[in-house]
Amino acid sequence: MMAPMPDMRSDPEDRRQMLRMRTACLVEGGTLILLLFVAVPLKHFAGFPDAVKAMGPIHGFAFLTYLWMLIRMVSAGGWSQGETIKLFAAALLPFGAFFSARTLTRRAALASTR
Amino acid sequence: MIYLWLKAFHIASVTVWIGGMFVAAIAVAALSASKSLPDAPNRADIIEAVRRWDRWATSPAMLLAWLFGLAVATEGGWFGARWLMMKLVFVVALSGLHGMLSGTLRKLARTAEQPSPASGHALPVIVGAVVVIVLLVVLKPI
Repeated sequence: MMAPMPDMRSDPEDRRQMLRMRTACLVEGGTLILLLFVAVPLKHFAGFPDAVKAMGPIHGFAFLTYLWMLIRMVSAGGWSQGETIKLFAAALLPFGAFFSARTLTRRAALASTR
Repeated sequence: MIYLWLKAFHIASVTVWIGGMFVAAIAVAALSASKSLPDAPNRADIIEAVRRWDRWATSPAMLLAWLFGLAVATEGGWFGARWLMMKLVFVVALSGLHGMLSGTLRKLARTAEQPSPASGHALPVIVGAVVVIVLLVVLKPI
């Protein structure tokens, strides 16, 4: 993981943004886990397709919200291309959100100490 | 009846969202084009006013447009229609562009640097996407 860019000014808004981003990341990851490991088995093994019908749009909305927040955060500067790709790729993988949450927690801590 | 209410709130949210995107895009375009604005004494005030509007009106309106849009599509049984799938591509692109504009405004609030010249092209992209979306929704050509 690359170090944060040194020219970023200390800013409490940075810390708030990282923490909001971490929440969005965990919600996105949580809904993905629910979709893949609860709703999909319920559909295929218990004949209950409504679980996927309900969780699908919820996860879709959570994913789009996370993606939008990621684009906004990266456009504001201070994130390398590698970090951006990791944060995006982790959203596509089950449990990947926990790795991203750790990165965001670290950055939030750095933002509050700068 | 509920369908019409959802549709009305969807259109109202979209109107506020796209209007706010124009405000952000015009501000970013002006800062990209002008040579005097980076040194203008009230530059920070202008950026802060646009950012405040983006935070309290444009971004919530975008989320509401998505939520009401999903509700309209579900209630109307539109999911699977090709015009809607194509519309979603443009809506996702507009959402991404909004995220870029919002982030660029945040960057401008922190640093004195000018936005990239490419930021000035957001306005025609918004107009083009809105025209395509309206045509797809009204005419449903596919």
